Amino acid sequence: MNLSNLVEEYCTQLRRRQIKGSFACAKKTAEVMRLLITTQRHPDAASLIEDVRTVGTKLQAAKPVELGIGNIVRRVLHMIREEQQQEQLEASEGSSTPGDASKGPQGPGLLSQAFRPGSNLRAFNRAVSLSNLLDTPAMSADGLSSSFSGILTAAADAVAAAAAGDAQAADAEGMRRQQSSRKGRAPPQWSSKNNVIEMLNELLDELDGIEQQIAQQAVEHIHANEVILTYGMSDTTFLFLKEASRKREFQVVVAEAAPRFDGHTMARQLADAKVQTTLIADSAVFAMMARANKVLVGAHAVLANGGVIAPAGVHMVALAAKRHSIPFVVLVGLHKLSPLFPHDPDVTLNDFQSPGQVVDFDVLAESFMRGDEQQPGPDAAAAECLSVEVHNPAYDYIPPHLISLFVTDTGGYTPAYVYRLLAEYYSREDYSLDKELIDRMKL
Amino acid sequence: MAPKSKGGGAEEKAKEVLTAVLLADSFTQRFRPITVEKPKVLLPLVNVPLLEYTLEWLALNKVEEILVFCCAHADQIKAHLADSKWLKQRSPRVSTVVSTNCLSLGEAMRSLDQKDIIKGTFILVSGDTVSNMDLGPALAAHKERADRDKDAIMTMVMKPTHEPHQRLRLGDTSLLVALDSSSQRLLKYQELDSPAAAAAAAAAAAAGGQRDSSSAHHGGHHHHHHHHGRRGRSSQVWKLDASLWSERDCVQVRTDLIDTNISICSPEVLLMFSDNFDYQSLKRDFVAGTLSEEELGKKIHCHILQGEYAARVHNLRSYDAVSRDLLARWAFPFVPDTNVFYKAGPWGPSSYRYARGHKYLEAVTGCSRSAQLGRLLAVGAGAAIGDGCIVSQSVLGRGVSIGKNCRITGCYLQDGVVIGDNVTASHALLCEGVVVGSGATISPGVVLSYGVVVGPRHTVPAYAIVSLCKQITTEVSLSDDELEYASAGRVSSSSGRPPARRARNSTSGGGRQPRRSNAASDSESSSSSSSSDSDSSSEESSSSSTFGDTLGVKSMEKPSSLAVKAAQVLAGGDKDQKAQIAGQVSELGFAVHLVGEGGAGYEWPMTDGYSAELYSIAPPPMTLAEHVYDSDAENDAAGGASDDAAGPDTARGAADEPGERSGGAGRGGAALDPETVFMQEVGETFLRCVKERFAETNAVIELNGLKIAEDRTFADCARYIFTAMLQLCLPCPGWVSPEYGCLFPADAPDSSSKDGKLALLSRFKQQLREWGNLLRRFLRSEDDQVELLLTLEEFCGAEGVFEADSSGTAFAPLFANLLQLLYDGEVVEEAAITSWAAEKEHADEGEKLFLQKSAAFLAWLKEAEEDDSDEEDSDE
Repeated sequence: MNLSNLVEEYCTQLRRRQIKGSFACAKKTAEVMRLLITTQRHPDAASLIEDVRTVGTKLQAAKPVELGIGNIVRRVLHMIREEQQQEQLEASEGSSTPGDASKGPQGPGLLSQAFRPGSNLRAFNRAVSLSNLLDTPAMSADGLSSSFSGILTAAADAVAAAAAGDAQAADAEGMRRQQSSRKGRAPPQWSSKNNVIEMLNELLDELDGIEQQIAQQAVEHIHANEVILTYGMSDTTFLFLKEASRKREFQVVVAEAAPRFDGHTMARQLADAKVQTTLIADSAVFAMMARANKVLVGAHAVLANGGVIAPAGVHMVALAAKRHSIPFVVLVGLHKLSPLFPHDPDVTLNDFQSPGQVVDFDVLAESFMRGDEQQPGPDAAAAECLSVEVHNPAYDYIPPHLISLFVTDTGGYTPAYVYRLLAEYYSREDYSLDKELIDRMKL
Repeated sequence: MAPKSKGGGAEEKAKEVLTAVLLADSFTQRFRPITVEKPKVLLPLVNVPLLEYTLEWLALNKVEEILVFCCAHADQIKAHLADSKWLKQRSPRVSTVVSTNCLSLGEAMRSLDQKDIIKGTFILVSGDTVSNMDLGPALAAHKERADRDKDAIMTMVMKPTHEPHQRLRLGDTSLLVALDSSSQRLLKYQELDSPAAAAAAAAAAAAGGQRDSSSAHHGGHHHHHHHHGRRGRSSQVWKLDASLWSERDCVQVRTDLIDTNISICSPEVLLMFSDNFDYQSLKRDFVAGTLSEEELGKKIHCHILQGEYAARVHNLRSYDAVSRDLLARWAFPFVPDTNVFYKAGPWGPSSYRYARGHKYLEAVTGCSRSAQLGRLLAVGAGAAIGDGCIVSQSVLGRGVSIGKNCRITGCYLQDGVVIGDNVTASHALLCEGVVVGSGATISPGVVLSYGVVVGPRHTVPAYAIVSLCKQITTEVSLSDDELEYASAGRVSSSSGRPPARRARNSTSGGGRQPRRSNAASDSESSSSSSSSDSDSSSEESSSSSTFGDTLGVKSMEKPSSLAVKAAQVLAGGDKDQKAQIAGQVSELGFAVHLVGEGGAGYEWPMTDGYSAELYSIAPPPMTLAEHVYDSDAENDAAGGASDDAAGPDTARGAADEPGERSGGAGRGGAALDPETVFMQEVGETFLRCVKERFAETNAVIELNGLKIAEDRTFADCARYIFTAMLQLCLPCPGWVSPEYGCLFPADAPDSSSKDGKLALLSRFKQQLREWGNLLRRFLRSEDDQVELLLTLEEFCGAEGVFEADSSGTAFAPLFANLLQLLYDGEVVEEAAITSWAAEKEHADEGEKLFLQKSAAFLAWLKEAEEDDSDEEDSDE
């Protein structure tokens, strides 16, 4: 079974909605990425980036609503880019002054790099500021930006790119010569690939530990005798509450989350975990809010502006919480952090599911006959026009101003801090996965 | 012949591969003439071939092995699969099984059994199933039952619907199902003709025994029944065996279930099809047979769906309904915007996006800004919609082109359809390559098959079905094979192609019998294939003996190349070209009243008495629907006169029902008692066998089918076969339809004279020689034979059912001779005769008349017996 078939199969599973939940999708994507990196041969970072991006675009297109897929792809791309930069830095330092930066421990994040002496410029140009927040990566690369930091960025990038380009060109030339002399031999692997694979393995471990990481912070957020309101079923929320219940006495009010009614499962599980639980109808949320001390919900994705995509109905809960000035806390693993904005045309915010969950199939037949009454006449066309249109959206978008706090695997953040997290996890050139692909195709 | 794998133990069970059998042909002709050129499973539903929905759904349920069973158009199906993603994927493994000479589901099953490829539990579906159901629970329940009791051989999936209009919407027939509430075991499966009849049946059941009111989800339905129960009455009364209640606390009698035709089967099912070589349809034969032969202990269970979607596209009505359901997302994730389905072609992979109002547009469409796109709409890539168009509730294929100011509602335009300016079209199906001229109007219910051209400013009348294929109608006196040669010759002469495989439209009347005749001839010409398209189960009436005998309708599998060429020129050519071929066109004789001047296409008459209004692609008109569904409501005004058997309204309502085609009852009227109707039906069936010179085995199949459909015993059949044989010696009796008149002798021998007696006896002897074997096959036991003798008595005495027709008295003086003949012909054994005599010993004097007449024969018999035993004694 070759890789492309595997990718195709995974895409099909995504389209069929066979893989449920953003965590499962993220994990599977990471595994596919690891397979891609380990099994294929890549002579340099650029070709690896190219490959990862192509496959990643394909995966994301298979299920646009699952932003977690793209996030993981961007994380992987970011790792590769970091590694590439490290390499370039080492190369340039090796040629000029043997700097101290390369000797420092390999910082996993940009933040640590930013504070390292010598790499100030680098870190600075990658940091997101108000001035370049909305810049497209192409702009900064072209050096068209007129802002100070933009110029700096452009200059630095140009220098780096030139250096990298020269090195690569030389490398490539050498390789080609090698290849032509010894045909049939596979091109050599990119030397730093193993580091990428290692980091990817770390990412996979990290994914596995995410829920536990979040749950560990539970006691800091839940206090004795509090009333916590939650909505529907979320594994993260459940583990969080369960963990808290080991140390604290508190009450949980669960809204049932029609039409999927997974709140019922949640209430059952909480009760089994010896948490004092009350189940309410969704329509009782507002009334119940007055008695709650805190709202805890899980989310499907966090967007670049600090808003979240969460199961349908959460927006209503958030508004009720705002009205009563109750803290609205979203528990979310950082694999759900997406660099896209809600207004981005690429973001498919919703998934409209079967109306079968909402109404009985018979509703069609009723309207079928009623709609037909308009006959006879040339406007027989109007038949079934009266038919009830039933919508069953899966998600809500909750704007950032309704959210008090994100509790993530790396700690609590406010929505305003999300942009900073983005810079830590993703490279700006990867924010849009497929746009670049389209551009390249045009060229 | 139980499977031997039992010894294999647990490990073998553990790695059992989940297999599905997908029937890519469902053996009827509901989609003709479209299916003449292309198999139904490749018909696009919301721009995706039907087959893909079933395959995707099976894959979604993690089925590992899918066998696609192809009969008609097998090459096209194989080509489609070869192009698709299925053969490239690791799981599920999709493979085709081709058997071109299968004409029914039963034959397909037997052929699968012979091939011996299925070892474990398998899912049986037809290739037109659209569902998003999770098979897991049903499979688990089936396996659990099968482990406990290996007689639990099948689980049928049903979907409840409380709204009576749902069936009308889906083009389904009503169904009466009795279930054991605790085990969900199926106790009775009866297709009903009209909802009124269903209600009546349920009412009868309610009166007869306890009803299950415990199940909560079913409460509304329960109420519904009572509602109907008050007024329920019909010419048809469905009886439920009282024994259903004797062993169980709770029995559900439901008419709210729709059969999804998804079933989970144990491998024994295949064996049973092989053992009962006459089983044809899954429901009518297999299920009915299994349920009626309770002594064999085989059990069928039901799985009732909750909230999931499952439907079949088995006629044009359901094609429309299911398309709308798909657009309204009922079968999620099988909606256009998940782009699950594989698409090839110039516009690349599927790229639908969702827009408010259930609109789905592919990435590259050329819609004019001034075009109004309404709700429930799918537009394929490359489609162009002109200025000022109003399009809604439709599916537009890839590359469809629509001119300016058109109004398109509820239409299905397949890939590449071209529509001129100012066209109005509603509720029609336009296949690939159709061209509609400017200013034309397409009325509701119209089907235009591949390549048809409609002339400008012409109005295609409602419910017209047009094809470039010509339906060839011939007298049935030509045998199938003769006809085959005739049309083959025509094809090769006109197009230079080698004789193509011929499509058979054998069931001009939707009856099963003509098809059987094909089955018979098929053994000789196994290369021919059927291109039937939808399942026989719902439409085929079990007793349609009067239909389809006078006409044999045949068609060619491909339209003639001349017609195609002419259509192409008419569609796109310039004036000169059109003028050039004007002569040819007039020669081709296109149906101008349907396609207009400058149009191309022949009328495809629907010959099978299938109600166009109820089952067309357009929603049925309100008046008709009301008539069907409220016929019992009208009667309601008359109050609770539920004993009043056949009110005129009900009779009308029932007669209009599509399923209602039982020939005997139709002619005889509702007044005849069921026994007489059955007698006449057996008689007619037998006469047809005689007329068409069926081989004995085929005659057995025919009669067996009737027996199962009417739920009778072998003896019942034997009795009336026998009387029919006797009647064949006399002039034609009144009940026989004129077409069989020729079988009967013109004169009646005078049974009082000696010559007359001899003539009559020799005639009967002749009959016995020919059909004695058949009779013997229906006489399974001594009791059956006694039954036969009692019937002979009744017949000769013109009693009981034979009261109306006293011709039998002619045989009265010959009773003893007949007895002798039956004995000599080994139809009736000595033991049966003696036990008949013994039984009669104690009867009233008046009933001993025939016993006395045969006294001499009986004495002789006794003597012979003693001789025999003497001989035996002496042997020892």
